[in-house]
Amino acid sequence: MTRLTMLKEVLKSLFSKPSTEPLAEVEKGVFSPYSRGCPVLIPEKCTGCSLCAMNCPSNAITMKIVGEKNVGGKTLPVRRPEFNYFKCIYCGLCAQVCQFNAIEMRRDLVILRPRSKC
Amino acid sequence: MGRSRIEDKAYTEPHSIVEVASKTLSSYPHLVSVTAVHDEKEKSIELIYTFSDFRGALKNISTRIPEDKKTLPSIASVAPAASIYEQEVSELFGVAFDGNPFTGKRVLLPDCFPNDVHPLLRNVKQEDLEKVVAGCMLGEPQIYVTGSSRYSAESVILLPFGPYHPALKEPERFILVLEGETIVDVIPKIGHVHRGIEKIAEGRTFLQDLFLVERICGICSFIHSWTFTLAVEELLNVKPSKKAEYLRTMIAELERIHSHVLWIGLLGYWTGFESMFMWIWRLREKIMSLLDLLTGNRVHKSFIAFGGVRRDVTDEKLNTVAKTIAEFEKDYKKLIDEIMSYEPLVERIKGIGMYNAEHAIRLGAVGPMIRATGIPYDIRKVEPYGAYDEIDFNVVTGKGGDVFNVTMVRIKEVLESINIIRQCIEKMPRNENPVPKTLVIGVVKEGEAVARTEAPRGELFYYVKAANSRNPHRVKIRTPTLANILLAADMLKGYTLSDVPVIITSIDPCFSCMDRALVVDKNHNSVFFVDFNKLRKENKRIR
Amino acid sequence: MALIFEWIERKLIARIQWRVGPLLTGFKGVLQPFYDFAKLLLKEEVEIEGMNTYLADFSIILYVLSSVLGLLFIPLFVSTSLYSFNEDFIVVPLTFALSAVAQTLMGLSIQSSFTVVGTGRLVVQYAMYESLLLITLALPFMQCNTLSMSDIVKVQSRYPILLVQPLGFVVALIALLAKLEKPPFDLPHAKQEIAAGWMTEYCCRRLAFIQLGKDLEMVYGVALITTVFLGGGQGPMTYDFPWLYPIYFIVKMIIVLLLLVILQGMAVRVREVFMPQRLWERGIIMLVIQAFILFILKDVGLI
Repeated sequence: MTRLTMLKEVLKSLFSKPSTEPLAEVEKGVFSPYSRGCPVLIPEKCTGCSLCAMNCPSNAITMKIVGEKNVGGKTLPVRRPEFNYFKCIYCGLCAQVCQFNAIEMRRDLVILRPRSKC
Repeated sequence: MGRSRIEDKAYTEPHSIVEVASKTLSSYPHLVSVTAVHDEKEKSIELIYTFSDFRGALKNISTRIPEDKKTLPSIASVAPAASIYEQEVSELFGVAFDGNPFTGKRVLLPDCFPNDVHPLLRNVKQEDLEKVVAGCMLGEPQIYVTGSSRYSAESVILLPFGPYHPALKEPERFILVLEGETIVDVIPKIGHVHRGIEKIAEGRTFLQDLFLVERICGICSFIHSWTFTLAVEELLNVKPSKKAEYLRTMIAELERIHSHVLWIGLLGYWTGFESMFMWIWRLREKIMSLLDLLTGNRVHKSFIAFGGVRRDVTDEKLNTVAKTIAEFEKDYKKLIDEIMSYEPLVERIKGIGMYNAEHAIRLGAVGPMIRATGIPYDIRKVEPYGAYDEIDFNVVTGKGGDVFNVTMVRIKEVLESINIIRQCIEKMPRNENPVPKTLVIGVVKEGEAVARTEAPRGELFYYVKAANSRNPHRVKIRTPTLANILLAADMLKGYTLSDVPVIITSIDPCFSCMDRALVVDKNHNSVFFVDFNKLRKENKRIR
Repeated sequence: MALIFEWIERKLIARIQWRVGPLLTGFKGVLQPFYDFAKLLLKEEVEIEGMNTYLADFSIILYVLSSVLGLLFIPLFVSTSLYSFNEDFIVVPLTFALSAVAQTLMGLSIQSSFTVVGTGRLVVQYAMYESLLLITLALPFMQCNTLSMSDIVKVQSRYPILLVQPLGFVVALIALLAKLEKPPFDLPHAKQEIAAGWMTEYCCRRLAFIQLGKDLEMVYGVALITTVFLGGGQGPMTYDFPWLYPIYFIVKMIIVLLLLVILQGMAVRVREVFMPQRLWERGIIMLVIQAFILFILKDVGLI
């Protein structure tokens, strides 16, 4: 008897549509609509405080010297964070710790595109 | 609750530890963990034995041994569960336990690891360890297939089960001694995926560690970060808002569903019923998309923060959760009813791997394994954390230990979790902000705290010690699989080869959670460790 | 042909499991088995220490040829096969024995623990399914008082033997599953227990030919059942249009394959200790009943 129910289940599955999601959707390489996205710097807002680099869980942010500025007669290096997207775990912590909202999490960028057909 | 600051440690002398332990065991029958903490200033190693009873009371017994004379008697004779915890300590700290059954064997570290380096001592630098590991890997590759010379008779077959085996999700080795098709003995060798997380955690800030501990396990990732958060919040004296508590509970329960459903599906795979595997995993996809909806990620949620959660959840999303959960419940009940009444499957799992409650307690089993024997030991109930004290739920128990009962416990726990999620959505205070003002916590004052939670696989234990610094002084993690592994190896004896995958995996093993403690990263040798960028370039060239 | 059958099987199994199956190579992935085969051929051959190369190569060739040999005597395109002779049913046990011997030799040409356990299971399984499969196939020949494949096809021009021997057909399907080592009888290479069993140590070209041999074995088994129970390519209007014969044959084979796949889809792998119970206790009882019915019908003179 239980075998018959199982047979019914098998037949039902055999004639219904597969639930695999088509590859075409994946190929677009976009982030899921709910994901945190990918960190991108807004250079105008950044003050170079390196709070993001200190707190990054995967050490994916390095502070890079991009120029010099003159504050009260002293020349100080201007630092900007640089993201290593291969190390990044896309947790969005950098955007949350930033006091000046200088890091934006964007979902429309394609950083790593999955390989197309074999 | 669910967490506590250690203030009342009972100090004993090292030589009397066996006596004290056996006295404690009579009222606190469950040994939770053996934690070792190295203090480089006082040149001593402190050992904390944590005991618990089945109603939620914890008892910590502490003893101190000097750095230059690291021996003390083993308590494995009174508490067999201690043998594997003590072996972990002895390999990582170099403490010798007299009378431990594992003495002389390597269980966690690789066989080529030098005997005089003990990774978790504070004066061992992480960089030095990397060199040691790279050096030992460059040496002659050592292959151990036979395992033990005790079995050299012709009638016996030694069958290596792992490290890479189709039935195991993760690398782990059990050497099965077979006589015909019957298993005579099992020799476990764990530790193929030691990543040194406990060591790395000491070199990172608390906030960075939160993301590190989440990556201990790919299935129960949230509960790891939650337990760590509980311990750290205890040290900081922070209380999260009500809504945050409810959200955490909800995510943890969703995770429990996804973990249990994953396991039930794999049960089909292990018994050779692959349609069931696919059918059940199809249902699980709904839960995964819910996790994606709520937290933004399917696996590593990165959802929790000290003092709250990291993103708010709107009412609209909660409604979607309620709707999807109802759909899931309907499909799940129907499918499971059909499958669990299917004779060929039931025949394969009923009466396989029998054990009794007393045996399970002695070997320190936790989670569904111990609940299957009828003991209602569930941390959510005995020591409520999060919002569990305001939620009405039952602890599912079975009628006696075997694979069938363990399966039934997991199946019913999924339904119970659905019930909890419903209540969470109903009772959740809607207009509160669960996100804390700042995520950065800075220096943590001196103190020790432990936290226990009920992970999908059982009781998860964290010990965190802070010493007025940005980094933790010591993080000790005891995962449920380590507690269950002795029972699993014991259950196998006397059954046939066909039952091996079902029995080993009945504990829902998460071997990678179990082994955490060796540093194997960094590119000290390009033969073994290739930079990702380089790999990508080479890949391009080939294409 | 064999590889296309593999594709059909994979596709059907996938649909039962709510998947899509092979998809990318060729139309709906129809070229996937060919691709797999070619890919394995191009791989570098790995010689394992302690492997008896000559024995391995010889047994693989024997394995592939045994099914080809069997297929030669099955009337695939017209109702008489090219090589048929009067008592050609006796070739069938020969091919079964040859393929089992080849598999055993393949398993034993490297003696690692997986292959030894796998081969042990294989031999036990062979001992069990062979008697069953041969008896089920012999019953129809008894019914028709012949030992020739072409005769049995001709006899069935009125109605297929399936109508007289339904129980025999079911037992034959199950025994065929055991022969092909498909679930629930995939014990000799149960991957969750003993990795790939007797073929654990094979790779590359050898593995490619093992796969090909398996596919051929499947086609051979299915063709045999189609011929014996479903009357080969006999069907309406085959006398007027002989080109319909192979088409009917293929359609019938696909139906048999579908039945096999459905049985596989609801299969839970049996435990080694239940093997005799599953195959013998139930199978032989069914066969005895079938034989009784057959003899009574024969005595009465209905057939």
